[in-house]
Amino acid sequence: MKIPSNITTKLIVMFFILTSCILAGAYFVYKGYEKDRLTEVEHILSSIAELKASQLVLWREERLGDAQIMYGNVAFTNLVRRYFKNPQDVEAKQHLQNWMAQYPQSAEYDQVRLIDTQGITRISIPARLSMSRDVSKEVQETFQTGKIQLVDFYRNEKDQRTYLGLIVPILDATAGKIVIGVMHLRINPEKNLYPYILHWPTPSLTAETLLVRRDGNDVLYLHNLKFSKDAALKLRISLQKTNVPSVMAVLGRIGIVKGIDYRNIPVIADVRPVKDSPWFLVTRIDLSEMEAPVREQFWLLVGFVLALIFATAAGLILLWRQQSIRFYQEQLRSAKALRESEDRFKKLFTEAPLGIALKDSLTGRIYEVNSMFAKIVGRKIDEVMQLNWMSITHPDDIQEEREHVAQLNAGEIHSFRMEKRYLHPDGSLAWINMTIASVKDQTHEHPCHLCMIEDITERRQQKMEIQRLNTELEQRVIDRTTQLQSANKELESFCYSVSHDLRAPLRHIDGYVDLLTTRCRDGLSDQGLHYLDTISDSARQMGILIDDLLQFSRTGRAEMKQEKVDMNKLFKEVQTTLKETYVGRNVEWIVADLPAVRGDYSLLRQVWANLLSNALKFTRTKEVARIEISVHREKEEFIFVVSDNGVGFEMRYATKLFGVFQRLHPVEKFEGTGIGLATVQRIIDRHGGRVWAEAEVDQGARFYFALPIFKEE
Amino acid sequence: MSEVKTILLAEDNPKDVELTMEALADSKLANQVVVVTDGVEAMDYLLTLGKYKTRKPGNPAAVILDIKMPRMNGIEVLRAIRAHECLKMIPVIMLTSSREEQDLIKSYELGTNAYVVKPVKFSEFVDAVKHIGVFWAMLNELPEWKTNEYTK
Repeated sequence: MKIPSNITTKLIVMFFILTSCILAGAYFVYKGYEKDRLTEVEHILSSIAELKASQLVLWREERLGDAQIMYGNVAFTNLVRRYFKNPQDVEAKQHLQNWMAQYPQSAEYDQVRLIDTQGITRISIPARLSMSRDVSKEVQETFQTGKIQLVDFYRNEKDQRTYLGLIVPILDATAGKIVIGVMHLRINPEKNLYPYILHWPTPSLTAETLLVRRDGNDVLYLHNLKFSKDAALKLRISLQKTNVPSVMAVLGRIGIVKGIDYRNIPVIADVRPVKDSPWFLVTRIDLSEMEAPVREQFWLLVGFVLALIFATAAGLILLWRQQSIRFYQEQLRSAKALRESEDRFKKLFTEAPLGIALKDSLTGRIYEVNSMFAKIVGRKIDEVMQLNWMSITHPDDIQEEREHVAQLNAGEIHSFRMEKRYLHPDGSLAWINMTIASVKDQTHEHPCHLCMIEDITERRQQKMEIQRLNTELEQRVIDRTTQLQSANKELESFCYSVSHDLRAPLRHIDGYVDLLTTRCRDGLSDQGLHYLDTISDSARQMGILIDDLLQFSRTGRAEMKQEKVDMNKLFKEVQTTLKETYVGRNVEWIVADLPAVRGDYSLLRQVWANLLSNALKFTRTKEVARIEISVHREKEEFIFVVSDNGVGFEMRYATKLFGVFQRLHPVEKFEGTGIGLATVQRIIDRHGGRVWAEAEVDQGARFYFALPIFKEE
Repeated sequence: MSEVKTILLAEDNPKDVELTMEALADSKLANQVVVVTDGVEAMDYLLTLGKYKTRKPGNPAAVILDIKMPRMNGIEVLRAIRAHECLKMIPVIMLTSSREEQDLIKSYELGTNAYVVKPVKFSEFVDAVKHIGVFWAMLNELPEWKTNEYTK
């Protein structure tokens, strides 16, 4: 597992970016420094050049000033005239010598001479000096022009030294400004000028100031140079070499220039002319010297940059290492998680309580199979792997499975489930519930089928058993129902007979008794008539009994509706139908508002009718009959209470009240068949309720019936 | 009323027949009362079959049926009458001991004209029979052509 190259690439790119930044920064620092240095050097050069140039101008002015003192000095002129007229005039000569002797004492001049019009040196200090050819030429010229002349650098043929000169004409004002002689002052540059030129105010190895002048087509160096000790008036450079700062100066350039100096070394220089002179001043310094600090800075920078780059590289490598450590940790963790997950899934697969197999969708080749699968199909795993799928499938299930598989392979469905049979090697069958799903698996050539099977042989057997039992049960129910139906039929026909056949003889008895009393009355005694009345009465009584009994039997058999019954309305209706039974009696009704219940209207009507008629019947002996209807709720029931202030009964017989034909009072006192309350109990039972009574003799009775609370559906 | 029609009484119990006849006699009806003892005979009479083959043609003014009879009961007779094109207009009165609601409902479904439960008390019974006789035999009017047309 390699660290992803993008991290490495990123870090490398980052390194290059950082390095570029560092280099760019260093470059600008370096450039800035170089520029500063150049500016500084230029400034130094210009300052020094300006100072020196102005000093040189001043120096020349001073020299001319010195000449001016003599020029036009009447006293001096007179002395010269006196001496020239009379060379024997010692006094004059002495005076002149005194005058002249002042000059060599100054810093600048080393010789002074007085020359007459013939060009003969009459007085010289020091004595007996020869005169350079250049000077004599100038002297001749001065006689002509009568003007002060500054003789520029020249080489003395005798001592081969360089001098300058000052030629001062001596004008005789009286004789119309005739030059009567000239004074020549020799300036020795070694004394003052050269040291000054050569002087450099700051410590420097290569810096120097050069004074040059044009000499024909050359530049002539006017003094000995720092690196050319014998250059004065000897070293000359052709004006063709325009890259030499001295040449540039002579050709009119002013300012800072770069070029090659007399040593063929690159320099930077300030070039400028010296005002009112043939001189040009070149103030130069070697580029190498100028650049030395820059270079030093450069190397420092290089060191610094290298250190920075190294640090960056080190940092990035550290980062890379951290990243890679993290990466490998991540790799390790995910590899571990993957392995755990694989293990878990492997375990799930091998230990699943379902049979699982992975097979090729086209060839049916089995790739993997778990032990449960092998167990269900009754073979070893190795055997299963070699099997042809269909060869162990029950022939009747092959077609269905093929159809499903075709649908699956066509992509019409993703999975299917079917119940099928596998053939065990011993010939027995295993019923299984199989689910096959199509799965994409990159390790195999074709899509795979994931097949899960569950042994349902036992369940199926149980199901079959249940089915068998159900069928048996159904048959038994049918049988029993038939029996019940026939029993019911018998009961019905019994009732029918009772209703029809039992009543007929009664009717006949009554009919014939009636015929007897009407048609044969004459042959009957009063006693006989009484007997016939009794017979007739008994027959009627039995008729009522039979009717009540039929009614009671019908309440048990009748189909019961389950509807919402408004008890207020029902009560009113029953009360109304009973009205004629208590005509002329004082009955006080106290009726609460009654809730609706669920039940059969006509059956509940019988309940009220029986209870109310009882209440009316047993209060007959009271002057004021008081019948109270109340209701209260208890848990899931409404409890209805019918209380009266009638004759009541003894509580010990309370349980007998609801039995068929049970009576607690003699018929003579209160008529009745003893079926009413039995009917009430039967009806309330069929409504899922309860009925009971409380009473005391002569203290009235309370009949309760409880019905489940009506719930709107 | 050119001809006094008969009243057909189907009743298997001779005591009931006697008592009914007594009651009808009391009502002084002019109609002849033909008594048959079961449903088959009743149908024979109505369709002039069997022993009634030679009877005078014509439908009775009313048929009074007991329900419980041997061979063919009253309800079956009623159904046969109502199903027969020529008999269906004849007024049929169920006079029976049965208070069974099933019988009541069945009878009315089949189109009985009245359902009377024989009262146990004889005087009431007499009253009831009298009323039946008077009402159906004397007061009730029937479409002539239908009832008279039956000949076979």
